[in-house]
Amino acid sequence: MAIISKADVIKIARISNIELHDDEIDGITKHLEAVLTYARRVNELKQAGSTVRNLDYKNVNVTRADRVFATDPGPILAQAPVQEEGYFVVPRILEN
Amino acid sequence: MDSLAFASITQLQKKLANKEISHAEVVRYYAQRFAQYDKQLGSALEVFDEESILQGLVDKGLLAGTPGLIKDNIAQEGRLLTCASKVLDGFRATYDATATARLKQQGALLMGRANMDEFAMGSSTETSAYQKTLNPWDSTRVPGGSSGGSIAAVAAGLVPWALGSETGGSVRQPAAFCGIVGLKPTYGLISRYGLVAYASSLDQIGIATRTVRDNALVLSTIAGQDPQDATTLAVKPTDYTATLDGSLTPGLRIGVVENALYAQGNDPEVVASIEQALKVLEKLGASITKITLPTMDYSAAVYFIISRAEAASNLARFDGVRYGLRCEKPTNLADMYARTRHDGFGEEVKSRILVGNYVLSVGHADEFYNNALAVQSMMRQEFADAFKNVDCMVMPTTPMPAFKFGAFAVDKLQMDLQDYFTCSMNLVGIPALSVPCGFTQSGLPLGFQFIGSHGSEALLFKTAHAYEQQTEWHTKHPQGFE
Repeated sequence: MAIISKADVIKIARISNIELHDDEIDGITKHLEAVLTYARRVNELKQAGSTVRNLDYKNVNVTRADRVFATDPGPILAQAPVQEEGYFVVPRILEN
Repeated sequence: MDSLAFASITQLQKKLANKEISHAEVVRYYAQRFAQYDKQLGSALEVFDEESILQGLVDKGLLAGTPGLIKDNIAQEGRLLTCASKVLDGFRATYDATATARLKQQGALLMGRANMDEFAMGSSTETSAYQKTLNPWDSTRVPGGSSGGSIAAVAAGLVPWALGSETGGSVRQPAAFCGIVGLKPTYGLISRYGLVAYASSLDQIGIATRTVRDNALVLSTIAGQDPQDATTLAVKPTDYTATLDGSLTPGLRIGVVENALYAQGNDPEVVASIEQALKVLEKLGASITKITLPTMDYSAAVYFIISRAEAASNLARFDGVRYGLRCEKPTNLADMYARTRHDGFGEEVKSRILVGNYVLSVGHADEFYNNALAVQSMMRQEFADAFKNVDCMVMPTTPMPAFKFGAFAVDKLQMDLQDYFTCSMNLVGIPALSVPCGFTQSGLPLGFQFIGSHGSEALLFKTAHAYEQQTEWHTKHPQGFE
């Protein structure tokens, strides 16, 4: 049985905010099926009863002083597709 | 001036110190080499104008006067930063990456931006939205990827060093394909500040050079803790060239990873060249033992899942709002996101984002992502246990020499599996150094890799340098780039 269907691909594309055209769906589905079928083997070790034991290290969080300093938004705003008075301008968000 | 073409960093710096050439003449010389050869080779997306390269010149430092190329996912302030993608077409970096800043502080001359697979996703540099890069040894073959532009430029003698990036092998694999030295450092040794993120828990800047000593010198320049990157290690500036005297560490124990060296499908010439390399290491005084790492068989699967999951998150920012491409006449915000990302990303990038979101989604995360994390922990355990009995390991960098353009156009899974021997080290966070170990009968370069435990770069360089000095591979150069 296929791991991923065309309907799954369309749903994941929507979640990913990527438009897919009708003539692209078959090709991407086939590619994803091949990759996911191969990737599924990560289950084999768990099914064989292998377990994770504790390693001899621990993760330590790294912090730095909470120092406030000024930054210049100019260079970034200058590259915005559309900007106005220091804001990034985008199309309307909600339908009427 | 012709003897500069394949000069090492040390040789170049000697000429500068003796005032045989000036900084301006160095820049002119290498700019002319790009002009002469790169139209066909395609290694650079852009070569900067000579005046701007020399601006703010620092004439003292570890890399003073030496030109290099920077992969186009590493920020150079004021320069274009596209990651070889249409979605960042025209975008300029507003700051220097820490690696870039350190190179400038040490006098390096940054010649331009290197071509790459789009967003570092690929193993051939074929997914670049802008141009193809050829393998300097055979123009019908790929240079490897994703750092193919960086590596091709070094192999063809257009620069003595270049920076690439590693997520699953993207410096070592092309280095093996093009007959040069490629380093993937310990995770956290080089700052990722200013490196455009692909998979943040795996990404590291990598270094490409023609000799081991040059590689160690570049690492000495850019490695070390950075307050701008909380994942950097508390490592002080280190001279990684200090112990390169042509000898091995006394009593060195090398583990040959048998399930890698003798894996089904390896090209027999790859295997034979590594077996010869092991004899050289034995003659130098290393003791060689055979080891197996069974979890390596799962490394590519784990890499597929973790890298794509992180990529789906990291590339969500490319949406047409703040920078880069915005689609024509969007009807609303959702339409803008969807069409911008459809038009701006290539096929490979789109596929990886979709896989990434799939393996993280409800109903699939346990089977894929959580299991992948568990297997990654098992891999770390297995490598840690192995390093109790060996000081470093040896295995192939790639299963075959450089392949032809389009070889995996249909079977994309086989392209993805090019990372099979390299991605384990990215997943475990340990360093690995690919060095040349010979040529096929038809003249294609072959490489193999030394792998060490966390923070063992000095040992890897010392071992690889000793091997290099007993062989002639690093003295060979592709024809047609004299």
